[in-house]
Amino acid sequence: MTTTVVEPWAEQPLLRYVTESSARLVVLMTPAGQVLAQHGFARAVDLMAASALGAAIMAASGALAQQIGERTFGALFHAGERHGIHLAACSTPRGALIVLTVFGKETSIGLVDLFYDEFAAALRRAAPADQLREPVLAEDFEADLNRSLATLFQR
Amino acid sequence: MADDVRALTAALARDPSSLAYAELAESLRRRGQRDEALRVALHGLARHPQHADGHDVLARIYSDLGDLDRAQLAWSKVLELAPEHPGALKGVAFVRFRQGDARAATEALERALAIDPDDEAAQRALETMRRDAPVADLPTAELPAAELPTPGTPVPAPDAGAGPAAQAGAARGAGVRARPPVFSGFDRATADILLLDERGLVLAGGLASPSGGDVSELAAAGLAGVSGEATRTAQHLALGGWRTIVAEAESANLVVAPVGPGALLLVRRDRSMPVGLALRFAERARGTASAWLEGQGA
Amino acid sequence: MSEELARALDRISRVRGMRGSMWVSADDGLPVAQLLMEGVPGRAVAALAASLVRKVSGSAGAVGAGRVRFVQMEAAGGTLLVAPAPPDLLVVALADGRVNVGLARLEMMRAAAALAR
Repeated sequence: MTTTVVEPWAEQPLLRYVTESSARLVVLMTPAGQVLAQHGFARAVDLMAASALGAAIMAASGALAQQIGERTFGALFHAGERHGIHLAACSTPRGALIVLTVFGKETSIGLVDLFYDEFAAALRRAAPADQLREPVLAEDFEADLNRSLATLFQR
Repeated sequence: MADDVRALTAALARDPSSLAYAELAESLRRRGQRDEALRVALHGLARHPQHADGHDVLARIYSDLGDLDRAQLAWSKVLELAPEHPGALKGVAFVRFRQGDARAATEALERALAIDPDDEAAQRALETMRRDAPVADLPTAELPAAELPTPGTPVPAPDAGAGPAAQAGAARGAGVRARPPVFSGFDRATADILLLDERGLVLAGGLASPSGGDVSELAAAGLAGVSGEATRTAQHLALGGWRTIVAEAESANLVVAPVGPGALLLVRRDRSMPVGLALRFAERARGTASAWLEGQGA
Repeated sequence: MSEELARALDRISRVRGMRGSMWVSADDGLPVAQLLMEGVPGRAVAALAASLVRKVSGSAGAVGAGRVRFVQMEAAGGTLLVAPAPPDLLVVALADGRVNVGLARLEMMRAAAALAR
């Protein structure tokens, strides 16, 4: 299982989170689905799909929260027969980030949620405050995404 | 065509790179359409060669087709990608059992149960294994049944005055591999007392299964995980260093305790021994183990 | 919280040395009901206790000891006690060094058995 990062400050918090939670797959991304770090993915296409879907789910749940007068929902959790997913947003000096976690029966949602909180706090501490991202233009997005994927999969 | 197959086929047609191929292959396999299932699985794995669940479905298909060699290869691939995949562990156990290797089958099922103790299929399979496996395949085959120790049956301690070779011979006779006689003089020294290191490797003592086989290494591998979990739990809950874990189970009480840095002790006692007494016994054994490790320069 | 669960936690919490008790979902490691003193991290206790019992149960199965009925982890600064309440709950208690473990164990196993009925 490999862990790769686009932004180095995310590496240590991610490694610790993966170790403590026993997560199988983790994606750290922006709300637009741009991946900053990942663990466990073997193929770029799978990572792209996961990050796009994760970001979409968070966007949809955010819209639903607003509809019913909530500022935001906390973590989302889906339980499958053999896997579960945990999806949550956290704010950092680097901007808002989303964490998608996929886990198996060797751990539990209780542990994942517990260590997610520690992960979010570690991200907030580690994120550089002086590199607020420029808004990403549509024409830059694809190039940005490709650069991220190239870094993550070392091509 | 059943609804699920129809829906999955449609999903795959819309997106040929979807992982739905695995579920479709499994549905086809369950319906007995093995050739179609094989085609779908192979096609999907060509796109997703690192997909553990896909290899698991492929293994099941090969198993249904009677090709145990290919099934075993596919399940091995699953375990390479996901070492704790329960389906693959059970699959390997099945293949080994069919090949007549009861020991390997039992070990695979025990590994599956160590990961998920509530897995009823694995529990039933293990009971079947232990009931039906030919005696010749089990580690204690060379002993007449009357000599097999069972937990709780008082076993005369090896003669404390005998040399290590004789004590080692006594250990072998009980079905447990000979190891340093650290606990000689203790009741059931080589069947119910195990010293291991933090990596899950056996240092001394031994543990026998109810049928008399040597489960020391399997127990050691699992216990390393318990130690790590206990350390993490105690740290997170600000309880300081952990000292002992006592587990009261249906047919035995277990005491687990750290022995200095880097080593762990397991003592198993019959349920007839009060827990408090088991703890005192374990404390004595810990003292002995600690002194021995110091003598080894450990 | 249901009355039965609440009553059980109340009885357990009266044992000398108790800092808190809870019902936990065994598979998920999530609290179902709890009665905790100030400062006791309920989520952490639930998740870690469930994980520890899972590992201990795996080892117990591997050595042929059978199903686990009670787990007690003693540490320098306190004790964690867990009684599985099949099929899918645990009763968990966190105590300090003064705890009467024997009494706590009895109350917890009684609570687990009552739920099974």
